[in-house]
Amino acid sequence: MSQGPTHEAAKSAALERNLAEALTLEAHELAGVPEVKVEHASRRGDAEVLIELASVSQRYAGEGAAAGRVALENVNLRVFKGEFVCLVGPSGCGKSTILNLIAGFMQPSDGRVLYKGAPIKGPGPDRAVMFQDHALFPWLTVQRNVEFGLKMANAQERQIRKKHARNYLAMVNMAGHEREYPHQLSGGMRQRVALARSLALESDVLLMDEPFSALDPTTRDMLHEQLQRIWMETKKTIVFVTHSLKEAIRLADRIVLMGSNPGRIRREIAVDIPRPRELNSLALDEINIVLRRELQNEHRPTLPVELPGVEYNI
Amino acid sequence: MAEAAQSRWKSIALSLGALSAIALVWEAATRLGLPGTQNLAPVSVFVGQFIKRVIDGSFLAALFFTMIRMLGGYGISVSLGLPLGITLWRVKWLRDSLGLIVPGLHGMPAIVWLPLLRMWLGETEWTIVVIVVLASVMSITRGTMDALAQIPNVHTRAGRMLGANGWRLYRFVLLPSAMPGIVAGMKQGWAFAWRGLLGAELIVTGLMGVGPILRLQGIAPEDKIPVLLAAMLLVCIVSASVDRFVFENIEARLLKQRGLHPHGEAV
Repeated sequence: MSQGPTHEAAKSAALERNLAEALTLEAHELAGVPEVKVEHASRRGDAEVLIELASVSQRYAGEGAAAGRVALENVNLRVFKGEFVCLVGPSGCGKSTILNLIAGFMQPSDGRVLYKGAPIKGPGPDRAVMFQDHALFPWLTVQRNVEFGLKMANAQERQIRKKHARNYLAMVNMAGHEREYPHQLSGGMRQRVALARSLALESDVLLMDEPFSALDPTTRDMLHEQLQRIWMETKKTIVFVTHSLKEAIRLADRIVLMGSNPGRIRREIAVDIPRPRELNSLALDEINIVLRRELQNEHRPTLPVELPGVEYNI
Repeated sequence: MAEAAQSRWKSIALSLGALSAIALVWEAATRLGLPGTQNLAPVSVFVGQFIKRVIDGSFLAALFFTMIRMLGGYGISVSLGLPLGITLWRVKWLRDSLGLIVPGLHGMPAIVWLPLLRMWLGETEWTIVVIVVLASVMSITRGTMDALAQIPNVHTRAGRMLGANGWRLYRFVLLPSAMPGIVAGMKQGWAFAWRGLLGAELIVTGLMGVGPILRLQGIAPEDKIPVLLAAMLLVCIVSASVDRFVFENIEARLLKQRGLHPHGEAV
């Protein structure tokens, strides 16, 4: 496979276009399009299923506007060991709900959520989470925040914990900030510390809920690079929620495209662009995409749109 | 840093200046015998009385007994109020059933209990200590409850995800997160307790402390006004010191750690 950068760029641009189109389709429009099952062969050999959602539905109980809203309807999803999966979709499509279910912050109204074959009962250090808002503890220094998981695991002495935390801070290029408090850091630095804190748990799974969405493009780009590198080094399984197609294409092995009302999975699309993926190779101008999507929302296509993204399935 | 120190000195100089101005006017008015000053003593006289009684130990002894009651009662309040606040936050039916009792007790001036307590417990230390507890426990309970209710959900989630469960979640996540609010409740509790304590000491007889001085027990008639003013000065200094050097320091530290300004960002 000797693909020149031009070819690659055209490919990712096409993919992005298809995804953007798919996002704007309504359910009845999709009805005519045959569902494509991704027969996923893990890039890393044996395809062990690490996370599985089986016929999961989620309805919000309680009072208020959200009462009875169906956040997810009959969702089936498998995440394989070592895979980088991005959940993409408009707001209200339930992508964060899926992440919260896997994290164990909520229980499904229906269906089963399994981790290594066993139902998920609650949150735990075996499934690290990185939140949209850094969620660092403001009363602890950077060092202590990163150590926190180890301290709770009760396993090691202070000195060992310290060294461990420093290693992970170095991994996200935050060495030298150990004694600072979160409020003394910039948004991008906080997210890096939050990433170090998640990595320090040394869990097999890393769940990320729009972790870079509040950052400026330059910082985001740098973090994408770091995350790709870390993912390749640590062989973690990552489930990443985003509403940015660019981000998803840059990071994911597989993109799970979601729709809203009710929240459901529309498509799964494999991305086989070689890594590390450079920003420049994603040729399409982001503004262009945003504008196009806006336009498409105004004038929704009435006929099923062909989904050439399918051709990129492995 | 230098700027902060400078503004600190400036504020100290300002308050000293204001105090000296008041003292000067007071001194002059009383020395000149202006109408309305016959029941006042010159500043120099009562401050002299204050210094004398601090040096001879009588004020410090009185303060000692008063502070023992205060710290004892307040200690009980904290050790009841914190767990009660946590429990009420945690257990909805309890919170609902005590929904009227807690604010009722909180809003009621503790001194109102005194007549009943004197009947039950007599003129004893316990009467005063119970007043101190009643005055402060609900401030601490409510402060704790409200502070816990305001913890960002994401702290709790992050804590559980990082493996903090059961009491460790409280010890390492929930209580630290809620600490500024808890301290605010404790500060209010202290202020209420202090009021209740001195009120009770003024009424309950036969005990040592600052109260008996304010009642002018065994003070020569010509010393009464200077001693009274000196005792008031003592109460004033203690109140200000605790507020300034204990609670404000703790609060400032907690807020600074979190990147917040005690008096809001300069505008």
